[in-house]
Amino acid sequence: MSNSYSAMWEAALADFCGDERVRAVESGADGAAAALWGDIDALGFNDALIPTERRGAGLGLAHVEPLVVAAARAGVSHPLGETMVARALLSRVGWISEGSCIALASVVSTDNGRGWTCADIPGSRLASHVLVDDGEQWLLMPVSAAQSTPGIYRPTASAALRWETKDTAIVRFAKKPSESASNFCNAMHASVMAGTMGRVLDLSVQYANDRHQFGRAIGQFQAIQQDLAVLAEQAGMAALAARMGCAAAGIEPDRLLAASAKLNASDAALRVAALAHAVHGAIGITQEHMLGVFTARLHELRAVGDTDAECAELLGDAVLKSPLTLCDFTRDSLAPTPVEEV
Amino acid sequence: MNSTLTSLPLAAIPAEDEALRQNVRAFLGDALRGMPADVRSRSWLGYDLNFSRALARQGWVGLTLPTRYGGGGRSGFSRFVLSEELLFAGAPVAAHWIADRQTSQLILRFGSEAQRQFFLPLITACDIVFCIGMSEPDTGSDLASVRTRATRTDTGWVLNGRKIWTTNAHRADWMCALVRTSGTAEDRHKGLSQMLIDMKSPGISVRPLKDIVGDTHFNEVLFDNVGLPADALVGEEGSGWKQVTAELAFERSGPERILSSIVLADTWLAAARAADHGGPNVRATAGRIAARLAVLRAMSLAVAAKLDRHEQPDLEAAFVKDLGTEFEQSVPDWIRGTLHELPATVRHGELMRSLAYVTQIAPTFSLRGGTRQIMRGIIARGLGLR
Repeated sequence: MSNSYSAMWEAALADFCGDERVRAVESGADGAAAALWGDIDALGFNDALIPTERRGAGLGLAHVEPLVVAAARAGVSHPLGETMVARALLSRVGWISEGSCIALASVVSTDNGRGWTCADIPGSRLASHVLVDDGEQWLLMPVSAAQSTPGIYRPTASAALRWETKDTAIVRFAKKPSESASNFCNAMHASVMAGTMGRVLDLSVQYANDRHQFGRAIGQFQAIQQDLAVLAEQAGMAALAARMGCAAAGIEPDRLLAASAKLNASDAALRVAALAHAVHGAIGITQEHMLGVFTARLHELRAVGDTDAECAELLGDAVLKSPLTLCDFTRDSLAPTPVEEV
Repeated sequence: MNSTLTSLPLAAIPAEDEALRQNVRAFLGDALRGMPADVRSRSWLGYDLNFSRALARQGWVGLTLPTRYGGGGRSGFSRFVLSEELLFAGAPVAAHWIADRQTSQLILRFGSEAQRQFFLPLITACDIVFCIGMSEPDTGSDLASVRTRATRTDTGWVLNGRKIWTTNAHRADWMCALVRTSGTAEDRHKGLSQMLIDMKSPGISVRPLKDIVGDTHFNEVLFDNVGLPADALVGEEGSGWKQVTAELAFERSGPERILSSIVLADTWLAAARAADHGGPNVRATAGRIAARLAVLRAMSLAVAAKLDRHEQPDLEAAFVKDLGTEFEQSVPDWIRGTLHELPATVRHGELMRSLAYVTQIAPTFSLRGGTRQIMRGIIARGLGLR
């Protein structure tokens, strides 16, 4: 999907979000994350999902999905899609974001009804707030008030956060019955994975053309060509799955389509990461190369929120409870109507 | 660079085409009643001339061909719906499949008016069965090295050579063959032409080859000084390669590249539901099959929409074929991994026969119509690596 605003967005990112800046953000360099976020927020797309009557752009998930993919491809480390969703949800209660970057998470454990913990939240160390789903309501929690454990895959970008008490919440408001952080995250994380895989493919093709062995570019060898073809197929499948997961005119993804997107993207990510590292050889394992920045994100997103196994079981439950054949189930529940472009 | 699939817009089947589904389904419900799953698992390898003719009487063979040639005059989306329903049901479509899917399209696009008027009504009535002669003993993936030769004579052509793996040659009335009309195998795709060959011509002998599970569908065909009339040539002399490759996007991106093991999957799903849903492996497998099926179907449909707009989605078709056949081949082992969660009664009978058949025939899914390695070569070229 390409249209005027996504082309503008991609051009802006190409202009100010180069490798050095991505690296600086990812390594926790002073002020780097805030400065990059300032540039992104200034583009005005972060309020895209807020309804027009609340001074947003009134776009739907399907319209912002290409932006989330493009940002991931450019290497943006922040929880951009989550911010768009969180700002739209928060606009219901009139909360003004003032440029904040907001992650999304579910509570994974509580201790005696007091402290509660959200496991690794992608990009949360770069965010000022987390919009937390505690199973009953949405709570906007400040990152600064949390006890923070560095993220397992991205220690300076992500974190597991623990708050002593819910009283720290800045805003509390009701969830709609269908809403959940995991559903929003499935759709958004699948899109981030799709964009990331697109970048991993770019890096791998570039490297195969540049690196010479046996007197020619390694991309001239059939073995490498076959691997890169598989990488391209998997990245392409994930891209389409992510678009299906976000094929909503409103802000809320369809539960089954989002699970399918996350499952397909997670399956693809494993193969994409393995193939990309195989093509790159030892250089891909060093911090001197960008590849590791992107494969770490893929591994992180496979491990957080609903994993591939959870998505598969969620979908499988729906399939088994339905009276329909597999194909009819697919046509009935997993074939989104294309959303009109704006 | 790799915007191939990121730029593939989601497509939906128009309502008027979707409306065909219920009629086809009702017809198939009657026609296939009582046919066991392991027979239906043969999918597009299953041959039943009476069934194909009954389908033709419904107007469902040659659905997209113009009405003036006896076709249905419908869109590619209608055909997509029809193909899906035939494959979901495991209908034995082999008698008309090749003519409907490939040869009729070739004749419509490249044939003379006389060839169209003669062949297309016979195809749409399923009065003739076609086979396609591509591979030869030394010519498989490297199709440009064809050696079977047609030499001009005063009255037409004389044909000598050999074809192999020719599906349904032992039951076909006609063959559409890729042959050399000039040059040598070293000239590659130059000098190749397509010929329509009456299989009753003197000098043709057919030797059926049994497949791995004991079925007979492919053959070896020998041509010993077979005389052909001048109008056996279809399209231009020397343009055979261009003509063959023109249709590949149709052949490589349809539902038949995704659904070869769907009868097995639905048979297994019915057993799982009857067994109170099995355990976690059953649930996860049901979910994984549905999720992969959904994205591949969307991909196939998006390519169909491109074809409908007369674009050339050759690269996307290679994606669909490789990903689709990989899925088809994964299904039997995914299912095998859940059997311990189902009651012992399902460990014998229809489900297991279907599983055994698909497990053994699955390697063909990524051989027929261009091997996996060839598809990946096409994609590598699309990535700028070749």
